[in-house]
Amino acid sequence: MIFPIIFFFAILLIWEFGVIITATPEYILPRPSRVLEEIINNFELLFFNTLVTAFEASMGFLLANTLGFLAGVLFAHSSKLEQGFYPYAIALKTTPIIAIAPLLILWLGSGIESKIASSAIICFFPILVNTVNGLKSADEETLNLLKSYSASKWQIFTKIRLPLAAPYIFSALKISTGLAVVGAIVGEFVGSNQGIGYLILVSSYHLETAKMFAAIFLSAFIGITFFYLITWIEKKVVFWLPNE
Amino acid sequence: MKPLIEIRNLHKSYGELKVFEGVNIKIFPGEFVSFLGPSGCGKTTLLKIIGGLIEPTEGEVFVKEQSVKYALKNHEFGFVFQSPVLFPWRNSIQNIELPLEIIGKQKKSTARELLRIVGLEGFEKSYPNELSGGMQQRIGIARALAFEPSVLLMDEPFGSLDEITRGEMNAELLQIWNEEKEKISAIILVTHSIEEAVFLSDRVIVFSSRPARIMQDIEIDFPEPRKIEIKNSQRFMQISERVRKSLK
Repeated sequence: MIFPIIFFFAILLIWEFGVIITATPEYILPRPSRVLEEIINNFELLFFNTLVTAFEASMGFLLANTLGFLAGVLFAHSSKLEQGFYPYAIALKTTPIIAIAPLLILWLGSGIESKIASSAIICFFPILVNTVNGLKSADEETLNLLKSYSASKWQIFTKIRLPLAAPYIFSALKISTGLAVVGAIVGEFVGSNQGIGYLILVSSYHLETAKMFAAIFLSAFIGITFFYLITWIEKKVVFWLPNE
Repeated sequence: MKPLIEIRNLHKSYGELKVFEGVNIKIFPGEFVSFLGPSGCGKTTLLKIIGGLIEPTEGEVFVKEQSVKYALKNHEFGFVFQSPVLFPWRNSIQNIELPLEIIGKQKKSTARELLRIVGLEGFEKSYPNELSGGMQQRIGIARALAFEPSVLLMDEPFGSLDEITRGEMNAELLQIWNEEKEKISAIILVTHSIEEAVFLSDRVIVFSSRPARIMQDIEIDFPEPRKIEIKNSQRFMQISERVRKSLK
């Protein structure tokens, strides 16, 4: 824990003095102390917009992971469903979210709904794939053992398949934390009047680079907080996995 | 005496590949029977057919004069596989109790008692990743005994253990067998170790390589209870030699 902190401050120092020595204008690269100043001066504005984006991202995250998990359960249960729908899931994954975003604005308006939707769309694929793979990860001897108990499908699902899938599901959740924020910000770029994405866009128009940096940092902060929250829950739930 | 398990004219093939054909075996209550043969000869397949995990191509298996399906529903079989198949999110006790939860049976013999029988007293709260391979397999055996099946089906249960642990586990299994004889009617053990088969069994059934046929059905009658020392006896060598010859 100590090394990341030392490195963080070392980089800030190099950056601070690098900017001073090279006399780089602020609209190209502001000093970190200026960015901090900006955060303090505009705290309310930044805080509110961070909350907006964090809310959109977490709603998208929850929606996608709930639906993706349920779809994964269905796919793992029926190979026909899986074969039939999988190509469309791939198509959804490979279509760039930025290409779909304007359509979402058109359909859902420029409020938070369209951002939740774009966030959910990019979070959907990892959970779907990992749920299917996780639920199918029971090996032959495990299934034989349960067959010898005449276990029902439901018993096999709850007692064996689900816990076996838990590590897969959590790795999808962790991937999703970053993606959810990306989805929300992409949505905000395309059409909104609030959120971190909106703030970044507006400060770029006004060449308020220090404010822009502040917003960029906060977008990263949302993702990091989210990631560590999920990692913390993962350690509680999937306690049997060795620590990385 | 009526046979506990009767295998009548059993055939199994996967397409063109004949695993075995024309197998007839009767196993009686109180018998410890080993299936011995070269790797991949189909003895594991035979064990799985007896336990109802695989369907035969032809022929029939009766357990207590009923079909295998009936016996499976009646929870007559306790399986022990080559790998312990323990679940890392369950501790020793919880792993042993898994079949009871699934079957919904009253916990007749408690998991604690079973843990004592397999020599793991004090490891109640341990998770599988905290136990050695031999200890894990003991949990696997305790779990198989949990719902008091009449037949214990063991598929090379000690195959992945080192020589020393394997010897210990053999002695342990004999002891469990002696203690639990009123509950377990028979044990069928698949192995490719001659020493293991001769030391443990009342009968060794020797199979040829694929397609498997029964080469020999050898009765072994050491004085009971068997002690580890019999491995050094002249008789043990002679029987082992006889088994070895029949494998060729």
